Amino acid sequence: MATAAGYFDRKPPSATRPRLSHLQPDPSSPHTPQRTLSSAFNSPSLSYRTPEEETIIFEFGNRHFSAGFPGESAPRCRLGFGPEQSRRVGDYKRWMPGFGERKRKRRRVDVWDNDHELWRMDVRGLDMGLVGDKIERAVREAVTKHLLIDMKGKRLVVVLPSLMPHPLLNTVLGTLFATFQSPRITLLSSPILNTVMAGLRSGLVIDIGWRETVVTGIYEYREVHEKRTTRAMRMVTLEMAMLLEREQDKNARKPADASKEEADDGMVTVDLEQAEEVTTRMAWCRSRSGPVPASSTSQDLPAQFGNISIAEDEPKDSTSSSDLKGNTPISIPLPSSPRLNIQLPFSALALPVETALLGNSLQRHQLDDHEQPLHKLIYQTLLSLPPDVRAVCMSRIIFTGGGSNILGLKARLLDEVAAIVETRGWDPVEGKAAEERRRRLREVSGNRQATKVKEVETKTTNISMDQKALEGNISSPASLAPQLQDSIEEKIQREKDKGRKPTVSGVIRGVETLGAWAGASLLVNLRIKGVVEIERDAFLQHGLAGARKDAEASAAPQKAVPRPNIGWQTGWTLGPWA
Amino acid sequence: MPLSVVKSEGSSFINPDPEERAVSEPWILSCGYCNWSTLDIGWRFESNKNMHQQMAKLKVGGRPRSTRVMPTDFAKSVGSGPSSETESTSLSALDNDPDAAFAAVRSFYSSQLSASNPSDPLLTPSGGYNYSSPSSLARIMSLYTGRSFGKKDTGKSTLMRETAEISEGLRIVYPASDDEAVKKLRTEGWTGIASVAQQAEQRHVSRFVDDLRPMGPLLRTKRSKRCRACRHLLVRPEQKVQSTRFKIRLVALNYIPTISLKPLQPSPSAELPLIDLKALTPLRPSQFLVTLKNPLFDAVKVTLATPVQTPGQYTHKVTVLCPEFDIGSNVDQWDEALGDGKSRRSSKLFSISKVEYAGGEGGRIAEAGKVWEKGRNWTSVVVEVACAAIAESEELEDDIDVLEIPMFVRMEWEADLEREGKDEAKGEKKEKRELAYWTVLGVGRVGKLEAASS
Repeated sequence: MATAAGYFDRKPPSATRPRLSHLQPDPSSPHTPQRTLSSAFNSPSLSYRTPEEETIIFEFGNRHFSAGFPGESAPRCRLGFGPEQSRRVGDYKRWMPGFGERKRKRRRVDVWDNDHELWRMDVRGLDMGLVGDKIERAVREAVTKHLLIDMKGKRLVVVLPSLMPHPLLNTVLGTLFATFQSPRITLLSSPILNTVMAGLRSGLVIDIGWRETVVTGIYEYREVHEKRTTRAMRMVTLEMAMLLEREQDKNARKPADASKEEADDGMVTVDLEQAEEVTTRMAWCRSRSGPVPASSTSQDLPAQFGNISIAEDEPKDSTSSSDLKGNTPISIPLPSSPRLNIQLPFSALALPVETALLGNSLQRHQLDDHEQPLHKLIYQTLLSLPPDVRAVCMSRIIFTGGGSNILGLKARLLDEVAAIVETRGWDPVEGKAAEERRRRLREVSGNRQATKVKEVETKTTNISMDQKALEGNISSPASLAPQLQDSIEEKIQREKDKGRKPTVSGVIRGVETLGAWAGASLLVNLRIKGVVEIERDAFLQHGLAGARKDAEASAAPQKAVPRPNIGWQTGWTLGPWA
Repeated sequence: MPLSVVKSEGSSFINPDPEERAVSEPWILSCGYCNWSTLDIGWRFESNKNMHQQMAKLKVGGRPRSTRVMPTDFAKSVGSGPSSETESTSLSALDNDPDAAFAAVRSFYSSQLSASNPSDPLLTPSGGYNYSSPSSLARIMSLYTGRSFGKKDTGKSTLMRETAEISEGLRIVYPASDDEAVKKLRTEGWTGIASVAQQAEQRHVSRFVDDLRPMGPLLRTKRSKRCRACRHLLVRPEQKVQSTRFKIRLVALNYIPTISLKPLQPSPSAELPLIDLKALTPLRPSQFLVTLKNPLFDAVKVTLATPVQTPGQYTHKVTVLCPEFDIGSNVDQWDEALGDGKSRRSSKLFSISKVEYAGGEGGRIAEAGKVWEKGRNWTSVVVEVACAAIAESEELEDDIDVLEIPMFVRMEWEADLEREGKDEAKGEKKEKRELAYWTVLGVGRVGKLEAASS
């Protein structure tokens, strides 16, 4: 026995047949080292959090910042970037009596909301230092006031829009790494997270944000197509401000003056806060099936812009959309002095949404590519997807973003898209010439069908089977011929589908989601690794330029096919953000 | 508004019905200002401890939250729309409760994850690929050749499927789902709907005032602060909860000079209008006294610098007449009082409220390169500002007429190491130190040109 033992001892482990021990966790292979936190710098609050919660999830949007812990369904805080943030020290005039009644400055429409945004996607003229400082302040406030933890050593998961200018991305990452000492940041893209949160693998995510609405086609957790429009909440709020302003002017001065054109001179008096308040509270969207007025009033809209008088339209409005949607007057605090109220018919509050997002009154040729109405944009995006992807995506339309909270909007958009599909089908060609051509084709084919049928009838008696088949092939193209039944394939298919739920496809259907933040919270809670993981040291050393140019990296959460994370030692990738 | 936990017997006037009072649990939350209490939304608590958890279980309306699940297959009923009442009710129940929806999706995913790769043979537990095992090789091959056709599938689908039922967290948008809310929007009007500020406080979107939940107050923490450049601890409170003292408290004010600014009024004989900080005369130089007060125990050499023109839309010209000067040390006042006569002469205390006139007190006028006045630990120098005229127009931004001077302060001093109790530097008793920073002096508002000329 002693010799045998010695023999086994001497024998080196074979290289070709390694021991079973390699199936055990291998300490030398790449893995996250267990961090040991020195207790001296910990806040005592750490003790009640389990180690798995040592991740914080941030979501940066155009106007809001959310932060919270994984595994929770909503962020702990959602902070805005208002002008309040850049108030001077000792400037308390907001709280002075009479502040509400002060004379509002008229602002140009295009700079109306500049104070309220964290960034713009158009980075020309954007002060990156200021963006970094705003981010830093927001994060600091979130962590010290709402999360109540120590940031040191916490891993961060940052939810970002899937298309970010590199200077902005650099600012976000630089601020988070340099100021908050986080060892690692994982980037996740919001459309994917929305899909995940909706419980789906594919979908069409419609993010009605502030500056723009982004429609993203997701197929198997990959972004396959994306279209944008500027018709988003900014436009809605602006329309609401215009509406309020017209009402206010009507209250203020004589009807004789009211003829003065003012709506389209590109200036707004009403503050963004007020307009937003009204929009958030009262904006709604009429359903498509509702009374015809939906279209009739919106056709009147250009006229309204001409002569400002929404008042003259209101009686018309009230007669047309009488009882169902109602014209209950809603009293709203006057923007110029909150103590007074103005009365607006309830239906008037649906107008800004419909004008801004649906833009019904406008013809297609009046619109530029970047300002397509939402339903047309959704249709266009679906149209540009491959047919099988389209079939899957069209029945998984996911609404998210601030605009998705507008009552009735989702249903309206779904109806509109369904209506377009009904009238147009999935034909990318449209226009008068196309209509004409289609009509002619229909005539021709109808004629041919008729003649063929006649010919066949006459020849049937004395023609052999082969010739008949040949004739049939000539008469109808192969693409129109019915598919031959393959019994074996059917069987295989049946076997394959045995344990599977049928997937809904081919119908227009909307699915709710809890939002990108909740999606990130879910993924982190399920311990799913992201593709874009950036180490602090690597970033601080090389910046964004240190990222691997990896074409095949995707933002897909590694779920279906676990991707080997061999890559991350050699470098990190920016994935879709590269 | 802070709510307090009270015994509900004490607030029986809210709930006069004796039967209801009998069944109510002893604790409610009530507001000391408006007589609102959680009885209004039907909330009662079993104890006054652990309110957060108790509240998390409750729904607005008093019923306990339930994840009521309807075994309806939405995948089948799609296209035909809502077929029955039960579906829409269960949907709305889930709709109103994002927590339940989140939990449903999470449990679905975790079951799918464990089903699709029980213990993924492809991956070693540490996360790397394991190429040498035959089973994983087969898996890899099947990845590339495609599983669906040809290769025999073991029946279990390796891909995760998506949610198909409401119990799994799938929530469908129904055309009619918002109708109820729109109706409510119309009847409730402006006041029945939660404002932006109220909604921001809530965890989930709650549109109507009825849906608002009482939120727990944010707790405060004691936290230490570090220098962002060198990670040195700046502030460190004591660990004890009751104590409000600090172990380390390095406040910038103890190290950098306090800067104050007041107008240097033109001499009464010059017959110029007095400087009014609320309406500075544009297009004419106004002089200001900038006083720096030294908190350090060493004499400090200060250099001030400003941009020639202030940044912003309107550029005002700024000149510091004496950019380099010394400030005395902040030694004990008695030293000064007992010291020689020279220092006593200039010992009158600096006061911000006293009006200074140029040309007063022996016809002194501000001269370039000369300190205006000097005290024990403070020095005043004159800054001259020529404000630009701000055209009056309607489209001005708020506060565009505020005059603010960016100023770069650089100070040098020789720190006395002995006083600081540092023994390591035995040989040298003095150490040269330097500190520089940007700051902004808020001066006042620039007046209108018309007002000045009239």
